[in-house]
Amino acid sequence: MSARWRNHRRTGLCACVLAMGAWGMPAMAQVGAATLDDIADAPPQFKEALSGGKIKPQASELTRQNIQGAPPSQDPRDLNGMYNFLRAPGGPGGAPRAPGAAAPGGPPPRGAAPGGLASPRVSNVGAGACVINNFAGLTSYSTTILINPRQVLFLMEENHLMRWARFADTHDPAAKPSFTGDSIARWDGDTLVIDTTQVATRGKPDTDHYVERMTKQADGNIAIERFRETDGQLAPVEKVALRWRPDLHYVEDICEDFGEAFGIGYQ
Amino acid sequence: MKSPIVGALAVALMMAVPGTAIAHHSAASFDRSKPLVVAGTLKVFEWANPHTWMTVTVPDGKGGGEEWRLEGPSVSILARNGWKKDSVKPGEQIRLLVAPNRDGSKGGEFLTVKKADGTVLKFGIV
Repeated sequence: MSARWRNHRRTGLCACVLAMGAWGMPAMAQVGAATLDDIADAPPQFKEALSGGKIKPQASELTRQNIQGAPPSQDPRDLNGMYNFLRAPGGPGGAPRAPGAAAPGGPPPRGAAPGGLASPRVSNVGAGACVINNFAGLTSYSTTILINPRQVLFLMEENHLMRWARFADTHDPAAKPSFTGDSIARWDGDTLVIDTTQVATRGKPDTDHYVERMTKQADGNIAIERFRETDGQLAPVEKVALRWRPDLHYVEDICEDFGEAFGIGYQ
Repeated sequence: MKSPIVGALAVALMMAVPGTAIAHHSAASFDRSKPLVVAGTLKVFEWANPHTWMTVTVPDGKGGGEEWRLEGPSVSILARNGWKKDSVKPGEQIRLLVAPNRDGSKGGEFLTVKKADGTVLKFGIV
């Protein structure tokens, strides 16, 4: 065997040994870019973004199909039941409405109810701040509505929250600012209108006033239009749908350690 | 004459390129446009609402490890996708699909979990 051949063979062997080590690196790499194969099992609603548009989910993947359970009551005022929420893109549109004016289909004229926007209050920022700290957060995954002639309760599983609105004409003058605010309910035809004052948001010095219009649809879903008072006008904020989900049952889960293990700042 | 080692190194480096990791530096929250695969040892699986969390120790290549804090969906969503509190256990080797934090910190949002036996834990619309 010539010296030249031995040299070539040695070069080849070295390349193979080093290359094998290099090939091993991807397998051992602990952090690396995801491939399309990795993304194939991702939640369908994220696949398009994760893949740069290369994987498009089926429409059927984006909405729960074949929901089993009792059909919704045909009573448009019977909102009792379990729902999942869907946030619609964009707001309800339309011109802002003056809360003191009788806008078509809008909230009724309100008096200067105590606790309104006229007197900004201190915020509730500080120790003991809640996990959910804004009004929109009050619509969360798996919501049960319990309604009777005196009150409406919203029980939200995901955040272990309860929201309460009583059927009344005026707000509680003693209500203090909170992220749930003080809610009163009334019927406008078959639309449930919930008027909420004293809504405090973390980091925001004054409180907000919201009006929500909730209308039961023929399929049992509830369409919610949410408005916030801005400069004396009710401006549309967003549309949210609560989807009738008789198949859902609460997942019982109790925090075991008062949140200490979360390590993200709330306990 | 060129050393055979130099030639071998060149070939080996060319073949090693696919294993390169990607770093991200941006503003806030999760970047779903640049998903990563993160492999390591599960330290803690926090089965809690409103969000589950995994702490994963990822070898740093220097004999040590760095912790990744990965946020997941609520217990409500995972449970309805068949997950259980002990679907993954501390000490398990896992490989996660992650939308990383935009700020480049070691963390993000976990989207799937692949166990050592090849089982993939995933979640979808519920």
